[in-house]
Amino acid sequence: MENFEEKQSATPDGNAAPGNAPAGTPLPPPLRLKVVGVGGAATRMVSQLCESKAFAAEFVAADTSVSELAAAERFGVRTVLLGENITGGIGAGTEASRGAAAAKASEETLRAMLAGTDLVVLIASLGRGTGSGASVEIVNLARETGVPSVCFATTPFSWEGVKSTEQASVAIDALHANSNAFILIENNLIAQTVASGGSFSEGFKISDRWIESGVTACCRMLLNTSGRMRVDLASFKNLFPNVGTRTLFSVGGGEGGNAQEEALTELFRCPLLKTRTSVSSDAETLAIHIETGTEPSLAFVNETVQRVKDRFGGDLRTLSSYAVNPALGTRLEICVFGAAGLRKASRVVHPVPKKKKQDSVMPGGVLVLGADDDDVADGNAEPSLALDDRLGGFAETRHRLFEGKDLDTPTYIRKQINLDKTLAKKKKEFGGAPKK
Amino acid sequence: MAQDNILAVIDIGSAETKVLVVDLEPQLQVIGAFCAKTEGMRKGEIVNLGALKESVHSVIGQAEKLAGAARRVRGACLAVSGALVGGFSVKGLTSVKSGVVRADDKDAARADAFDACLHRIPENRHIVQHMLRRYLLDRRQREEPLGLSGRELTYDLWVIDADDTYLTELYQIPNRLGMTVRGLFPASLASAEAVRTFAQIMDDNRLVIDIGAGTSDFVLFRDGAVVCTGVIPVGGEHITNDMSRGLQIRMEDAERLKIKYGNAYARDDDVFAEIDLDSFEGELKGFSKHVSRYKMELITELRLRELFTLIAKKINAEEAFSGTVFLTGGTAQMEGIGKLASAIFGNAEVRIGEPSLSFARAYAEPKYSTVVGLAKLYRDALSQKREALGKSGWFRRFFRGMF
Repeated sequence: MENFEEKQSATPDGNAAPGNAPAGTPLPPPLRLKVVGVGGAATRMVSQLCESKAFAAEFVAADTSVSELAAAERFGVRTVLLGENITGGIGAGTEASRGAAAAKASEETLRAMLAGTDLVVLIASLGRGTGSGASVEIVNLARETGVPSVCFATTPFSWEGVKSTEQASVAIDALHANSNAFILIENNLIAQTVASGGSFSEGFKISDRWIESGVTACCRMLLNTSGRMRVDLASFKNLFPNVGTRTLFSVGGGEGGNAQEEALTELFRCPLLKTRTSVSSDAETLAIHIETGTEPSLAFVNETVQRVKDRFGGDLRTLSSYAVNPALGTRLEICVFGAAGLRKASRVVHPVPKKKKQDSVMPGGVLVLGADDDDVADGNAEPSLALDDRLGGFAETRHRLFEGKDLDTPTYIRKQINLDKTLAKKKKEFGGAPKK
Repeated sequence: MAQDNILAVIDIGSAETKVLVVDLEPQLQVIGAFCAKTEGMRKGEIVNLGALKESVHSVIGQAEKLAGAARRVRGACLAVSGALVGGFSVKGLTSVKSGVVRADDKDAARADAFDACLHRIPENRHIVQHMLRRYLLDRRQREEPLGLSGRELTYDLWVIDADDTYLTELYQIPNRLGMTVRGLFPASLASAEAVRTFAQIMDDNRLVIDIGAGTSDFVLFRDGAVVCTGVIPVGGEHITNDMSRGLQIRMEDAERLKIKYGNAYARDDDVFAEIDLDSFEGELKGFSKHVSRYKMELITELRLRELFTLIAKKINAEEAFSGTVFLTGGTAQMEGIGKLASAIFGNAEVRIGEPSLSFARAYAEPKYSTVVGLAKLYRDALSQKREALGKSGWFRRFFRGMF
């Protein structure tokens, strides 16, 4: 079970022996995961993750502010104070260059922190000094020392100002180029998702939830003990062999009788699919993590994986894992990681077979059972030269800020206008006539 | 050499490429035209040169065919647009020695302005066009300073520049077909030329906004002279994209929805209105079957409002605007867009500009503005050039004559 190739995913053998882990042989060293938070908000998030004890990893908070770190330390987080001599322990003062300088000054400490790590999950809150400056340095260090990195980054709200947006934009490009997987979480999107009447802190909880479920799923996939299928580090690394590829990341959850449908709908509609560093379809490699309260049936896993694959691709390599977590009850959670653009460089080498895939890739469509996996796989994954309408956004254009504004993002998102809420308000205003 | 009269006028838009094959002599006349989807270009930026070349070449080929097979077109005229095109103003200064402005004072001021311009322009950018905005004599605006008395003469120059790589790639497209690029004009000026009303008052003070698929080009005229030009990398495609994200529908559906039901204002009448995607040209593959019309309009309004506000900010930085607003380009066909623009540009009169030039009657649609104007600009420039050929300073006359 150690090496999942695409073939296994078509027939997920749910009830096989619990992994032929080397029982008698000397155990390899356990997986050493590090979850590192850089910047104020990220530090707090790491504290939360540490407190929740959802998985076994080492939690590190790196910041330039002593007070933030002191708060984190209370949760049992390992703390790294960056650039004491530069910032004096009072923060980087919204200057990314100071944040970067602080990280450079503490390079030795950071190196020691990264040493002997198998995978580093970096959480960075971009926009202000430490998050935008130091996180880039840390990712560079990780790349230099050969530690694979998965990076979650939150962007500032657009009202935080042009400077913040610009700093974040620069940091995003640098992080994206140097981390194996890069997941962007736009705070501006929160306004779109909060249920009516949500408070400000509830809004932040949503972005926290995205990160939390991402980090949790990522770590659980690797540290999975309860499920029958798991993904080991080597194959996970193989999902993201290169730095700077586009990353697909999505989470979805559902509850009750219709949990599967709900979860898949949420998964396919996740706003994180439409950020500027993400892909929303035709990923080449895919890792699917399913977490349920009770033991799922073979058909269920089969169908779920197939539908996720229909939507997201994963023709080159698909890893799937599931875990049983009694705490979830009737809840179902699905998390998907993927990468695209791995083969762009070798486009010339691969001949393109003319065989066309059935038009069944759209979500919500019928489940396609068929041998579209193995033999056709290589040709299909070739990203077509024609512009894909499903790409959305302006994925293939160079990203450019226009006077500090990210004009490619819809205006309503940047202005934090919740469409549903506005509509509901208007409807109320006009006497709440029946919907149809 | 009769072939010299035949020219392909090419406007490569983010959505569609329009090509007119025109005969320049004795009168400007369209002899072949074709318009088709562009591949490999988004937001006025080239993302895939190979695909772009292929699609543009096929359009040129079709236009040539329509013009008559025997006529092989050798010359091309191009429009430049997109985020890689910029504009800035430079000022040249000279002291008037004799107290009365003479021709050599004007030349000195002009030379100083060009000198300043060459210093200002980065190495990787190329001047597309430059034009005199105005003369300032002792900081007072003068249309023609010659013979007036003063001490200090300023030559205010507006320069439009573009990225070198972009231009090289753009030139490659006609060059591959054995054409030489004879003319290169900013898309904003071309559109402005096409939508002229020939009413002096309206033409002299106006703001022309060409909202294309990927970019919006604008140009502001004051007293008949260009005050500023610019490009905002937002266009109709952005509206489609916003809709697709906000309503959770496919891009194709959003595009059709926009064309059929698009409205620049979120109207109260539409709060309860819903559009059934199913009944709407069949085939549904997205999620929701019904989309709220109000939501769709709200998304559009927010985007367009922002676009107009950005332009208003840009032109107000130069000087306060008053005059007529002309909207043109594909997106200008949207319902309610005039009302919205009027609200933002201080209740100005807004017109939806369609190319009104007699030689291109068949192309009186907003989306053809750029290409029609381009032909006119080139033809005007050519006659100016011929008139002044051999005399020194024809270049200056050419630009002054144009505006």
